Amino acid sequence: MAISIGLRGLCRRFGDQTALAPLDLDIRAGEFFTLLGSSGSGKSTLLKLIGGFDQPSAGTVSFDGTDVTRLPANRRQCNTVFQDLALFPHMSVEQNVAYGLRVRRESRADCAQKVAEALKLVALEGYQRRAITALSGGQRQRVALARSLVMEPGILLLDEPLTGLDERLRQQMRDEFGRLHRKTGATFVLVTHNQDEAMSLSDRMGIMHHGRLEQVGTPFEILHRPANEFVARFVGLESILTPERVMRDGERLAVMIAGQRFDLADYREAALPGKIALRSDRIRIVADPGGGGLSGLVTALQFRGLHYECSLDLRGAGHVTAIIPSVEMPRTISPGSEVGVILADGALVPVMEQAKETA
Amino acid sequence: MFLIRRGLALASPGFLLVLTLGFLPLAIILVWSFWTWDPATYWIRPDFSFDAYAQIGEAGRWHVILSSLGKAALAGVLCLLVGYPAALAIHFVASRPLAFVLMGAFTVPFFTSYLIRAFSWRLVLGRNGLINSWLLDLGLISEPLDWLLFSNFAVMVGLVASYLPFVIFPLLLSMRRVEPNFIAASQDLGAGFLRTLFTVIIPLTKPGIFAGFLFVFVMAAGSSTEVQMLGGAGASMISIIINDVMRVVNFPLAFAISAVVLVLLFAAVLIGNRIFGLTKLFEDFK
Repeated sequence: MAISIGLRGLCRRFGDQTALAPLDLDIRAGEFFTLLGSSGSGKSTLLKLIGGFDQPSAGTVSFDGTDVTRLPANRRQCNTVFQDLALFPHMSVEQNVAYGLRVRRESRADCAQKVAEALKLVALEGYQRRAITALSGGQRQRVALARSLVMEPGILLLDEPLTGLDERLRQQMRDEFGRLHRKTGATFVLVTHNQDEAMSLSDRMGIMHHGRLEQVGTPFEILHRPANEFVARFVGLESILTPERVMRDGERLAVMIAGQRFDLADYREAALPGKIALRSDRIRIVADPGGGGLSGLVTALQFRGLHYECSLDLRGAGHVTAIIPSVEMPRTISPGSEVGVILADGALVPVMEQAKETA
Repeated sequence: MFLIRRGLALASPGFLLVLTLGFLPLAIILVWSFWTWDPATYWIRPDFSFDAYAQIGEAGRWHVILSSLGKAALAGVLCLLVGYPAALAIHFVASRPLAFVLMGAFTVPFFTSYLIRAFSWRLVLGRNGLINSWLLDLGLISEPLDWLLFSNFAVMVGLVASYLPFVIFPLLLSMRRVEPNFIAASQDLGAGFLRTLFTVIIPLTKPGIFAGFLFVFVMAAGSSTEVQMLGGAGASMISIIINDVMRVVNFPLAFAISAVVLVLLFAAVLIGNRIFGLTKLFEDFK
């Protein structure tokens, strides 16, 4: 059965270093929750506290409402897939997968059957007798998953399990996680620094930075209403402008950039955004400086194969990067060109950070 | 191919050193054990004789050799029983500065002479020694225990105390190779500390266990001081009987005994390596 996780005022300090600032977070039973952040952001620290491998400096961890803060890892109803997998090298695949069952004193027959089922779940039927050292990276990954899943945990913690796999295998295993989550129904908590993984798998995700939880929401919410500049940049919204004015116009949001008004439909948030991010793939450029809404100077142009990456100086409004499909790139444009900049539908993303008070 | 040859060339001074300092003396011992005594020169002369080997069986020497190896093996096992928890404490429990202090505590006795170390046990185990006086003071015994000193018990105490660091360092080396996450994973799957110790930590430190045992076994088999200082009147050891036959200038016999012991020890190393994978201690796990 899936278990919910409640964190209250949870924090971890090492000496005078704060690895994790006090945070509150609820992860629902059966949810696929991702902690996304760069290295040193505190996401692995948080996972260790949930798993019981570390003790918080303050705050509590509860599973299904029961306080488990002081419960050691071996008595918590959750299992972890470690970053380095931590498969026991002196044991066969079967011994590895059966380890937790044997600790629970399940009968040999039950173990054998459950191991066979778990291996089938991760598409490794018949691998029981293999040595761990004789497996490929992807196969080891699957064994580590099977070893955790065979315990039928209420919570599965995944600590950057895809790091170190090549891109193809990564995508394959990523899809596997989604399938296994639907199949087992357990609460999955994934720690990663890869936003593709986070976006494609998560029901909700939390973005961490310097030991703080910057924003929690669905991937859609985070992409369309990033809480602050850091979150926006982290999810790939690199072009961030401070508009001259933002105002509400019915259900629309009106934004003034370089003296021109741009509208954002269906804006129902209570607060007004302090900043506006521009989606690079929704910016078009035309050779005629007066031919678009805005005008700008091309400061750099880089060919990336399927597209060009074009850095633009929007004349006092700020710097933005546009991604222009190679086939749509006007031939005459080169660094130093004055161009017209058109913002297509969906180009504007409000960054919900409050505007800094100006004196 | 070129790279391999160059590697060999670069390693050749080392090889040469190992050959001259390590193998040459052993080869000489083996060769001389087949030579015979020449009264004319008061030295040995080239020959191919098994006389010396036949003499090993005399005067209860086999008994001394086997009991020496037995004592050495027991010392190895006892050192492991004491040293494993100590190494575990240093590796896992102690914080770094404390680990350093603990390791120092095991090393410092080595700064003193082994004679003094063995002798100091007399002060502890003797009739008027520390242990007997404590036991008497506490009223647990009415007269001093005699078997504490000049006995196999005392020899074993001396051997274990002398060679304990030699199990701790290989054990620490092998424990450093146990990924902390292996222990975390075991815990994660529900295992308590003892279960983790016996199913994960001990199996993964087998090479260190064997290396440590081997160090103590080999050195204890060759020891004489502890037996002479702490053993009873009839106590003997391989090195003592070798000393005795050297004193009566029976060099071929001394070499023959050495050769037999060497062969036995080599056999132990090879068999142990087959079972415990000693060389793994120096390999990278992947």
